[in-house]
Amino acid sequence: MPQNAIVETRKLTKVYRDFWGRQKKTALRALNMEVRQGEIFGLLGPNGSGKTTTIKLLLGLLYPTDGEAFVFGQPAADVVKNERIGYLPEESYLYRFLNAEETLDFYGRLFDLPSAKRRTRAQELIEKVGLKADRKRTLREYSKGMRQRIGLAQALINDPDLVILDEPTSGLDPLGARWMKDLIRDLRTLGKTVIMCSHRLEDVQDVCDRIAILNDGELQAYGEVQTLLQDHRRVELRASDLQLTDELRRELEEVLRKHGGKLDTIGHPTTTLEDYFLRIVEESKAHPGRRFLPGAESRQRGEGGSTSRIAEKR
Amino acid sequence: MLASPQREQGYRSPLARAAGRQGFVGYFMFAVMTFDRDPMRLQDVPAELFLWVQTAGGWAAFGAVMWLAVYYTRLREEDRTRIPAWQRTLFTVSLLVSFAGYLGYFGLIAASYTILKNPASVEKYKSWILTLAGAGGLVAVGVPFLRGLPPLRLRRIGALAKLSFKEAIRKKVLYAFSALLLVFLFGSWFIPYKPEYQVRNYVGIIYWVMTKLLLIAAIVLAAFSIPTDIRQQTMHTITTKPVERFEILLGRFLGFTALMTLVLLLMTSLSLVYVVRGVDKEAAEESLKARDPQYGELRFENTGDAQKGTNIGREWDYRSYITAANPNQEPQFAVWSFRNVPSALAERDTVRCEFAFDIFRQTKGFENRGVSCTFEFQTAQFVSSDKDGYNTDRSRWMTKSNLFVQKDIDEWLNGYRTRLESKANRPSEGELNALVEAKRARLTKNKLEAVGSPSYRLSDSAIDDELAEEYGYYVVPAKDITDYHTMFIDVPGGLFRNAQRKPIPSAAGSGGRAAIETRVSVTKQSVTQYVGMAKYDLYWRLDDPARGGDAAAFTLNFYKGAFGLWLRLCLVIGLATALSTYLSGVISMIVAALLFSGGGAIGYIQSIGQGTAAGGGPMEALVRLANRQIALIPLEDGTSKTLAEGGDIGFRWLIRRVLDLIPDVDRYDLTTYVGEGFNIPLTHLAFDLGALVLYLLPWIVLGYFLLKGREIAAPT
Ligand SMILES: Nc1ncnc2c1ncn2[C@@H]1O[C@H](COP(=O)(O)OP(=O)(O)OP(=O)(O)O)[C@@H](O)[C@H]1O
Ligand SMILES: [Mg+2]
Repeated sequence: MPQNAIVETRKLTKVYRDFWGRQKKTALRALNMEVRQGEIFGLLGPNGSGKTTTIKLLLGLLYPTDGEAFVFGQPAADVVKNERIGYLPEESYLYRFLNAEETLDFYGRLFDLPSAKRRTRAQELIEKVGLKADRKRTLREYSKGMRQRIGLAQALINDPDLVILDEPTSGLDPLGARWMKDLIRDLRTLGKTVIMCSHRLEDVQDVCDRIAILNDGELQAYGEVQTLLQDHRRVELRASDLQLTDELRRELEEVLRKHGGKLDTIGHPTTTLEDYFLRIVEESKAHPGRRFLPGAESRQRGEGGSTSRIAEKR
Repeated sequence: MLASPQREQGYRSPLARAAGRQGFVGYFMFAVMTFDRDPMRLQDVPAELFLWVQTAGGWAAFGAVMWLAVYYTRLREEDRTRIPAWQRTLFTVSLLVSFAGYLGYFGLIAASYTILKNPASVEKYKSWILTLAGAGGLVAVGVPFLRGLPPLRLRRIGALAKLSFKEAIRKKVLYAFSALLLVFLFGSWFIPYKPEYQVRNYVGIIYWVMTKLLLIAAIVLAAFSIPTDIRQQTMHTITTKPVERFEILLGRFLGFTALMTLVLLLMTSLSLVYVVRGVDKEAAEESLKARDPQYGELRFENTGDAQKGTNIGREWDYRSYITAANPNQEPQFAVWSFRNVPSALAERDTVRCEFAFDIFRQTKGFENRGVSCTFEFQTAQFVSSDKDGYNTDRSRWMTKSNLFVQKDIDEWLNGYRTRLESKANRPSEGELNALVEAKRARLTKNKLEAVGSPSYRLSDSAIDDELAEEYGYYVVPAKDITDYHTMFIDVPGGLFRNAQRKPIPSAAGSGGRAAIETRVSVTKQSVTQYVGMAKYDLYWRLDDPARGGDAAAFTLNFYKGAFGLWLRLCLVIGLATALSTYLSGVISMIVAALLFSGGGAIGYIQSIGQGTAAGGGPMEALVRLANRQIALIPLEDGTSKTLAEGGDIGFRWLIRRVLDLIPDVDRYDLTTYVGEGFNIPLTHLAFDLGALVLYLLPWIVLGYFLLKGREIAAPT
């Protein structure tokens, strides 16, 4: 096992069996991969491709049918390694009759943390995940996103070295998703290792250093995001403070032809919906009481830019 | 797991048992303990432990073999090597020892029937071999279990316990207990007024309802908690923390136990108030107490059998009967001997002897007039030739109208000195003088200032006390016994002071006589009346009834009775939690409930297991069926008999092993003590606690292995 590998699997295979031991489904077949110290590792794949199965094998929730999985150099079934792991399950499997504070205190106790430490860490984390106002409400009353937040806080209660997140952004609003991505990047700056799986490819692309793509239990692609995504046959160019005129286009085509290339497209870039959404929400926070009025929309069509499409309420 | 030797008694129908215990049906109306079996004593403990090693060890060996067959064979080589080599060796060796033990055991039995033709000759080796085999199984399973204990942390167990506690409260499970209020509101409609059994019925109903409510709640809570955790996947979040699987089991067990303890305390306190306030004065006087009895050994004289009185063919033979002698017969006696009597009793003025006998009338007799019995109390100092001296002395001093002049005193003291001197255990001269002077001081204590010669007042009871001390004898010639009531005789403390003295060496015999004997016989007037008695029908009150404090004693006893219920709660919680590590919630609940209620009906199943049921086991029954024989005639010798009996021995052995799984629930039922007003000895509670721990331990260990080996996220 290389020096800086935190997780390593060798021919990891999982076959689900029924009660009588008959094979039902091969969820994972001979997976070989490793996750290195300090990186964010993404597991991708369509539904039912074996992502959650892999994670459960790493955590000892499932036992391998064949092959081995090591975490921190210890077999995955070992309980002691859990001291350094934080795990956010696919859905927040928390006790609904507890409130946020009690939840964090409970899981803190499971790490055998002394009470003073539990209390300070719980306060910190509740603040970090933005549940301060709701910390006395039972999780029964929480929305999906709020449960995801408390689930994350629970995963960080022991200040883990390895954080395993199963679909961390599911159920979060775009704001929350952005916040979650920032948080994951923060973890990297703190030197933590993160394993996450997600269906939101843009999320993965934004934060992951390396990824593995599974399909039907088999590893399909594996490596650095940058290298995997770079298209060496094409070149992209962006410029600002320019008017898009026919003359500019002609001159550009000429320069490109001289270098043996050809102009594919030229035009104004559109912003992503995510950026747009975030900006709108930011603005609405800056102007409390403002709201969208029907009809105002048609007048403003085509105006573009950051100017308001929204009427101000008097 | 404890098949206690005392359980090996004859079977009685559940109704008879219920009648004897609860008194709803009213078999015994008097306040007296009827024991299904003798209470456990300290000297029984080693035997019980051996028995435990045999049974628990047997199951451990079985479990180890199952583990080998089902689990180890499927284990991959790299996982096998993870078990340390020494542990694998130890496991193999101890399992081989166990295996060899069982082979030897069955070999021995087979040999004893075929070669030796004398099954009894190997009896004493059998137990040793079984113990060895059991110990092997215990080591094989116990060592891996013990190795799993060091990582356990109290904080984690505490967190899980607290979680269970909170869960039950927040999910409002506890509202179910308000059903007890119904009893408080309407219970008195069903409780008969008669003072003799008012307390018993109050206590009986209260405990009955509490038992049902608490046990059902406990079993449901415990059986569903772990399966629900697994199904709702909350278990995933927990097992991915550094939590040992065993901590989950312990946390759940302790959490529910703590919860039920609180509920039990609360309910007991409320019930106590209800009982104490609900019972009226007369009933309170008779039963609202906690007597502390000193029991003796019972034997019979002149009934033909020292163990038994005259058989009158009534009910089961819990009691034996004596009757008045015909002119040509020796009188029949029931004799209780008390080997050790606490010296504190000697300091009392009187010591109460309580008794409650059963009366069986052959002729109608006089209605409302009891049967008259003679009670003689004597110490080891007393020899029957002293009886005449006692009677002359007593009639002489009793005629003095309680007034003694100096001459009487001197005569009494002289006679006292002569008798002491004539004894085989004659005191030294100094001791003798001291004894006489002490007696003089007592006799002359109440001096009357009369003109002329002084005189001294001595009450009847003081005379009896002096005589009892002098002779070691006291007699109540005719005491009327009535059914239904506990009666008593206050015996002078002098008898107990006499019992303190060094016994007469010659008369002592080999083992020494009992310190005190109580001899009961039926008087001539009551001929044709039979009086039934059992060991526990007569006893000394170790607590001083003159001192009061009955209410406090009853209160304490009421809580002790609740302790019996607490033990049963622990039992079902432990059982259901352990089962639920593998089985689903519903199944765990059903199995735990079946095992628990199997404990109540254990008598009959056991009689099959021990081969005491009429008609033998299934093999013998089969042979009988084939030969059209009825169950009461012994089988003829021959091959079919050998086969049938051999098969039945095997069958009985199997049944007994299964029986070992059934808890001995009845032993924790202490309601009778409370209801009848008898103090529950602390040793009783301690033994019961010990028995519970021994019973639960194997189940908890089983739960440990099942949960540890379980793939939490796998579908089931
Ligand atoms: N407990 C189970 N019993 C039987 N089969 C299972 C079980 N859990 C998962 N599987 C099967 O294993 C395969 C992989 O499942 P897994 O949950 O790992 O997928 P996933 O990649 O996490 O999918 P998703 O994106 O929907 O979360 C699926 O075909 C699924 O049906
Ligand atoms: Mg998944």
